[in-house]
Amino acid sequence: MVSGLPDYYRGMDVAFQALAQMTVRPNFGGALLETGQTEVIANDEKSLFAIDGKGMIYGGVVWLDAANSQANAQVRLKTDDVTLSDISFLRMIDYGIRNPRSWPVTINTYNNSDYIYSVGISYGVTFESKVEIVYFEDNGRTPNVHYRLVYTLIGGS
Amino acid sequence: MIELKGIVQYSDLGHRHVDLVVSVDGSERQERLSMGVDIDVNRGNVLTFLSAKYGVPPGDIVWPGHIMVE
Repeated sequence: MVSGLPDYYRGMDVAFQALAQMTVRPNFGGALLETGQTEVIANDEKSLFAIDGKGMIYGGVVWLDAANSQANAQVRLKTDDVTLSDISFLRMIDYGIRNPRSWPVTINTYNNSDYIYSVGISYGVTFESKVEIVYFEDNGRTPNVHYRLVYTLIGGS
Repeated sequence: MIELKGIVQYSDLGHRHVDLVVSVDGSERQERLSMGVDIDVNRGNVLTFLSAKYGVPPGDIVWPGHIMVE
């Protein structure tokens, strides 16, 4: 310390630059995990889960137990009742939507022979009052959908 | 102090589950509580549940303005 005093004798003087460097981070609450699975009826749009609160997504994944193609299905991410992504698995493959820095929902695995699919939910998407993940079935089948979402909720009004 | 942080709703085996995320006494640590299955979610139900759970008056429970449940 420049003054010669230990740090605990005085508050930090940012203008004086008493410390060589300072680490600042948001004081979010601890990370939470939302996990589960549910069956989605053919040609239906089903909410996998919904969370009322304010916070941020750290990351997530949705994958399927499917016995038939789910190429046209969509995993929709909604925050504050706004749909942020509604792109089918097939389109994500066709257009190379794989980079989580470029889109909130990206394709991880697409195997239309063995019917293995998974998508990722990107880090950093914030929500002010609600976050929801919806599965839209558009292939006339009834898949079992698994999900994991790591997120945080903050308090205050 | 009990502060509501979030309300989680999800489906499992054809039933809609409702969980609450709360912080207690200003702690950064959060607790997740199962409130019930196939129940209505409204401010009165949530406050009644938390009041009974923690033994505090409903008026002492902090309800953030961004949780817009009627």
